[in-house]
Amino acid sequence: MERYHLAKLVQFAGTLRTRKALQKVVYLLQSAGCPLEADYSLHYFGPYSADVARLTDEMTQLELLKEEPVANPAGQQFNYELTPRTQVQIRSFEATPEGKAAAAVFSPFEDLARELVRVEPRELELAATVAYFKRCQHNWDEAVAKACDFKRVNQDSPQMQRAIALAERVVPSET
Amino acid sequence: MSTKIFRDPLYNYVAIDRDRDDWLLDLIDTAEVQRLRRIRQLGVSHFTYPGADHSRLSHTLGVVHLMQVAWRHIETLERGPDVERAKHPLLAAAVLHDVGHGPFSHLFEPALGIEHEKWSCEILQNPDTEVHQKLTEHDIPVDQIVALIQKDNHDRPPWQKTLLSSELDVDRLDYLGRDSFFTGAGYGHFDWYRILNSFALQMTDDDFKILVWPEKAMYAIEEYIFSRFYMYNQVYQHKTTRGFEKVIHAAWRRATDLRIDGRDAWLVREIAEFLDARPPTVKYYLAMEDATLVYQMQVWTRHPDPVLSDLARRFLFRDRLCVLNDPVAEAAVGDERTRWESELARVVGAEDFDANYYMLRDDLKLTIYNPYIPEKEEREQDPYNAIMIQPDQGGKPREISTILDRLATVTGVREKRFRYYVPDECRDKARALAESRNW
Repeated sequence: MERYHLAKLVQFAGTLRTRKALQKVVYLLQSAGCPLEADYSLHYFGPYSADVARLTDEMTQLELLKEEPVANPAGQQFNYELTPRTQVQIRSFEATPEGKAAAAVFSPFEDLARELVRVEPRELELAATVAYFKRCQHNWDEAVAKACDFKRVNQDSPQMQRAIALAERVVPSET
Repeated sequence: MSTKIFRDPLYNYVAIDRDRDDWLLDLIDTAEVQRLRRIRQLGVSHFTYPGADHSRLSHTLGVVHLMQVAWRHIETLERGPDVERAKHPLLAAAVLHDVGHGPFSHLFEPALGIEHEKWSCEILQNPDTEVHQKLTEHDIPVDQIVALIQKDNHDRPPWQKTLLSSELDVDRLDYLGRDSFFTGAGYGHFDWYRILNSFALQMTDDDFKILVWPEKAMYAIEEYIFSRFYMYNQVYQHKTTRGFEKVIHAAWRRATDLRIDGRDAWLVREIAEFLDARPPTVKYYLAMEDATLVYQMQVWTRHPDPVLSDLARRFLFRDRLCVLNDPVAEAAVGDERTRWESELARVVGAEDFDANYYMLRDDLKLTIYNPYIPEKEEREQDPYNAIMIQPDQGGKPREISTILDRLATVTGVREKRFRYYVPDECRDKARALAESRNW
């Protein structure tokens, strides 16, 4: 995954709330066919990419992203915004041939990205887990059953139902 | 009681009880496990550290030893048929987790587009292998071992999988100590005995049973994390070692391109059979060992293609390429890498070298070894991205670097991303280009 693409996700969100949301949004975008090329494996909280985590930390250290720790019932969550310098850099980069090429990769998925960054993190976690099992060559029923078993959630709960609907909309049916 | 003893430089004795665990000795004696004697644990690190000639088999026996130590501790924590049933698959997975390694361990994986984990599972499941036959003979469930080895297979309980593969597991505990010992780098000293004799099994809010460590184990784990950091920087990412890995990859790429062009790449029989098989088979895969690749390089030194013969010669005679640090501005959203690389390719081409094979980029993130960089958001932490400590005063387990602040010096360090290798003949011009920032 490139810095530019991560920066664009944060730009779409304004404030991207939680690293969890960032992880799952990237995974769902990849599931939709966006070639972000982050390597994922299944963790307890759903698909997780060390690539995405490290890129986020790297950009924070370089002051390309502003990180804000916020207390939550589990401990801390981290929210991200672009720094003013990064806003300028994005505009400059998009004026170059390399920037135009990077933007073209992302543009078909921009509407979906803008939608996903606004979904509640737990719902993203459940949707990404369903998408993960679907991409492991299970059919939809099996993927949902596997995800519910793995996450120990009731398939009929309203949150899980929303997550399943989101996953079905994101993952192309032929995968 | 009769005990089989393996002498080992790290643990002195690796002991296996013949009466109780004869099946384990049978497994170690299979052709596929014994093949690991002929696979170097550290690929071409012996080009940098001449002592680093140790084999995957010695590491495998070390992992078995540490799994036995961990198991004895588990038996003090929990009893019952579920726990007892986990013992044989865990010990078998310790023996077999690396059985699918190809020549020079991880080195050959990108060249051939293979993953050792996939081949380990293929070897376990193939009825023609001795490993499969011994597992079947002793009623050890193959599918459970496969589930323990496969990274994305969650059919086995998390505490069992994480013993073998996580941020703090028996595999890493052995290879850090062993690689440190044999390279002579000396960074691999930590109290593994305390680490494996102090963990607890604890239920999470989500009803997973996981491994957590008490505060008294914290300093032993701290040593382990520092050791991992030093080994990553000084051994696994060593510029000379990585440079020769790139030379092998370039030679392989050249041979592949020759084949695509319809020319004879002079492949040795074992490699040709593997590549020509559709699909590639376990039998042909297992026929490739370190010696196969060395012999292939010897053959290529006589090949009429000047690029292929030169790359093979450079590898065999340790003729290094020159390393360049990445000059591309770091604090940018979109980088200037494309322009830098095309200018560097021009410099290499001007000296009559084909940049496709002599301007070699090393992506330092694409490595199997990495330092400990924990996930910092609690709702994303698990044993695969965080080492958890149970505070003495109670409450929820916490990631270790949030308790030991000084660990932040090694757990939050930004990694270098790229290095470049070019022939010595291009060194001065390439360095001048890098310093000029004129691209």
